[in-house]
Amino acid sequence: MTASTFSGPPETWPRIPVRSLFSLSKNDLESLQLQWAQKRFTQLQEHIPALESLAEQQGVKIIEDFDTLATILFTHQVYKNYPFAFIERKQFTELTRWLNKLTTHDLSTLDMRGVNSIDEWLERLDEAGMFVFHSTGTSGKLSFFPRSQTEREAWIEGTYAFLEAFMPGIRNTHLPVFWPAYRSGRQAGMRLISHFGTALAGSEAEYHSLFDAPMSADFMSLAMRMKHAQEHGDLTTMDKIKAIFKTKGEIVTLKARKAGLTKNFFEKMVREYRGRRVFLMASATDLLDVALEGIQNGERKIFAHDSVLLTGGGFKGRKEVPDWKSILQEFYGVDQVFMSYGMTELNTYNLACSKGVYHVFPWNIPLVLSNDGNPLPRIGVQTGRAGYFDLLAQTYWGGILTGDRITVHYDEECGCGWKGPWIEDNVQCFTELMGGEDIISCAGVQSAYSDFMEYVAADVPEGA
Amino acid sequence: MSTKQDDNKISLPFIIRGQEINSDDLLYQSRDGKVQFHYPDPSPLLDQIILPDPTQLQRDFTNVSVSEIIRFLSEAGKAMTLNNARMEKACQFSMPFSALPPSIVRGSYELIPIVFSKMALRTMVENEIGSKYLDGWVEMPYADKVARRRAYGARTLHFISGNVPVVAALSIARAALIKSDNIVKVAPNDPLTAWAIVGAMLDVDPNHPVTKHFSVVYWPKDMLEFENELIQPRYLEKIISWGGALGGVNSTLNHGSLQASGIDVIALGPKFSISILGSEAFKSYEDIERVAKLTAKDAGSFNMESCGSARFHYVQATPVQAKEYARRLYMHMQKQDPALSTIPKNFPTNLHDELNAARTQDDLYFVVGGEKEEGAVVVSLTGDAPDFFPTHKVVVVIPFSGDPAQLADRIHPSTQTVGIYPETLKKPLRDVLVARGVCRFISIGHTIDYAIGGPFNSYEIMRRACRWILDETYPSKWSLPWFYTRKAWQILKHHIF
Repeated sequence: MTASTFSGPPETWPRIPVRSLFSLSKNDLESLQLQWAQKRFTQLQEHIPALESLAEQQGVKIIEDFDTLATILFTHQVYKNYPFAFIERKQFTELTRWLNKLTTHDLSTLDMRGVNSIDEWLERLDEAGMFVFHSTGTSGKLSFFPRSQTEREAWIEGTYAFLEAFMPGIRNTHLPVFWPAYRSGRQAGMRLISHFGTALAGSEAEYHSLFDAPMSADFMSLAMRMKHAQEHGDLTTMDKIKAIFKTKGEIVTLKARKAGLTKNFFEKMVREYRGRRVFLMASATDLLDVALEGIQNGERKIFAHDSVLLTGGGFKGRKEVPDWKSILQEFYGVDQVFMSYGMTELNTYNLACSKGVYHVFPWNIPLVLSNDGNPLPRIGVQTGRAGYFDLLAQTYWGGILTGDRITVHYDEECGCGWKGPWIEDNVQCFTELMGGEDIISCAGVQSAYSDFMEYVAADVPEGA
Repeated sequence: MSTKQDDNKISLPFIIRGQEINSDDLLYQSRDGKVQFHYPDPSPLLDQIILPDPTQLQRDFTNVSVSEIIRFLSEAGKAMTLNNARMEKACQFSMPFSALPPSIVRGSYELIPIVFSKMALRTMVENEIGSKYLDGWVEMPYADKVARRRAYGARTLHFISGNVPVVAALSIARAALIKSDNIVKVAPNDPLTAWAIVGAMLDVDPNHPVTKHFSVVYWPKDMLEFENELIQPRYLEKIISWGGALGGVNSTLNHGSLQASGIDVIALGPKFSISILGSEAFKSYEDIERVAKLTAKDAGSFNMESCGSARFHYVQATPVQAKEYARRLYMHMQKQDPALSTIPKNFPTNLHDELNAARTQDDLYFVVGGEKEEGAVVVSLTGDAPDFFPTHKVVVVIPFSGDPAQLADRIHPSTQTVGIYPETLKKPLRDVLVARGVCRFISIGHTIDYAIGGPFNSYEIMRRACRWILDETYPSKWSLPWFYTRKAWQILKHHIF
């Protein structure tokens, strides 16, 4: 394979067959990536004020090498550092002005009159050609990634490329889809299922979600507002919040009913789709709970062996069951459990290969930084803080500095037959690695300052 | 559970009732591997750690006056300088692991002998309680009876914090003065200071009642069996817990059920401090300069590791004035006495990222400094507090206009000290801020000048650490004439003179 396959701009690459995507030599890949990173920088710099200000501060005028690129990544806070009061006071014009610094689209003339909630704000942006993804806001505040329709096609194709690896011919195949969560929404995972649920299933009827309702961004943000009002004993605000979020009662009920619903959901799936090839995407814990109970009841090998079972997101506070993957295989009857590692900041997930490590698509450039923020050399094996440059981003800056610690292998091939850099299956969040056990301090700490309610985020599928 | 390792050993010996126990049974390791120490397995020592017979405490202190305790403590205090081998070991251990740089760590260890000076101890006990209540029964002026009260020590478990060594010193001094029985569980971020302080007592007299009623131990979170054995109302009357609700200290303990069991829990929540500066501070460049120099001390001292550090500065100023103030404040925070403030250690990446992110939105934030790891001043141009919690010499300046009393709605209930300028602003703000949780008002430039013997954090720790006992006697008929004469005199004395 030669670089001529990649002669088009990065947004066309997701159409290239997976085998070819991972066929470039290190030199070819890196020079292609660098050339496009430079192009993106030139295209975007003047049109994204936040990028311009960062580049100026770092003294970057041209991206000569990956080390320079590493100095102009946006930290993940860039996408959530709007004052929370903008939402509290419904200052959606101000919130739009904040977002406007992060995109090439001109949002300054958008009329935000009549917008009263985050959901409405996102809807208004959707109508204007934006395609904003929000985070789960585990910390209590949502991040907003200013994607637009310009990226939508590449996002769809990139996701197909990701799915193609598990299910060759996916673009032309329809499978019953099972997704034990909200039906749609604008959080990253929800954006994906909103589109692919029906697209993969071929019809609304064969896309089975646990709840019919869409996931509300406002509800996810509710935790912080309630917490704030409670702390200040501000009953007026609390009443206001309650009035705004009429759905709260409904969602609390949904939560209360979730266990029962989940049971019914999986029972129906087992009963009506036994032996068939299906597409099942869920958190590892949900999948495992059902599997363990099923096995206890003597059930096993439920689906056709070539069904697709896709999971990710880890065990979140629960103890990991050592052989959980084989338990899933045993119960669901699938040949393989597919894992994904991705983040809202990137258009596509990284792809786990047959060796169980994550390959980075050529449109994503992995960058590893030391603890003090210096780029590590792109040779051998490097462990450090993960940065990425997403070449699919055409209307916002694709450079992102994450809070993950990753180990990247640059030179050695993993053995699955694919070339290019790969990431070990041991991604960890930096905050989990810092500090000590039961360290005690009398001085106020972040947790005391903003010890947000966790109960809302708890049910929200993340990443998967 | 920890395992034993032989490399690079640092040991935390226990001190249990006048006896030092050296044994490297277990190993503590922080998640990042930076903090490590060996310590004895506390489980087989449980019988020695607890005081099963509560009358032992009263017996041991029957003839021990507060003055005698002060004499003993101040004698031990003389050995609490850094010339003492234990103290030096504690200080050396703290240095690489403390969030504070060496010069400040040393500086704060030098405060310990001051806490144990005769004058400080006397001030503490007289201001917070009054030694007469600890040494005997004190009669109160009731008309119909003889009512006397007395403060007794209690069997107390202390969870102390480890961010600054003076916390261990104050906790131990207070507990000793009130004749309590004390089990001190040290925090892994400063395991040795409490051991060094009680060790100094041990050297002076291992059989002194104060020494006999102190144990310094550590056990890990996952040692549930030990903990459940120890924390029982038959062994303990009080728990004094630094670092907030017990959940924060030890997830297995439930505050509510402990209270219900009869153990009195005194939870000392984490606190932080702020400054409120009226428009008078911004009248001229000279005013801004003078005020910023003072508030820089409030903000930057101990590299912001203290609960008294002024992290949020509310300024009654225009954006232009606020920016000028931020520049001056930053400059002065970078030029402080190295015993009080230096370049912060282990500047968190997250905070660095927040500063970088803030710089990208210049309509919303004005950031001075912070490009390296020296600290920064961030002005929130919208007047809203940002999401991040300012630490490591990063200060948030929040401009406001209008009546300062309106700020009260924005004061966090964990606010401890408020530095106010000008002084005249204190009076109109005091009551509204107290209602929001504030417990100390101070002139700017003085937040680190703690008054020993004040109602610290408004908690009145020393009073609450005592058990207050009442003894009431009603007169019999034959003694009534004498009783009334005495009462008349008492009431006259109390109300008229």
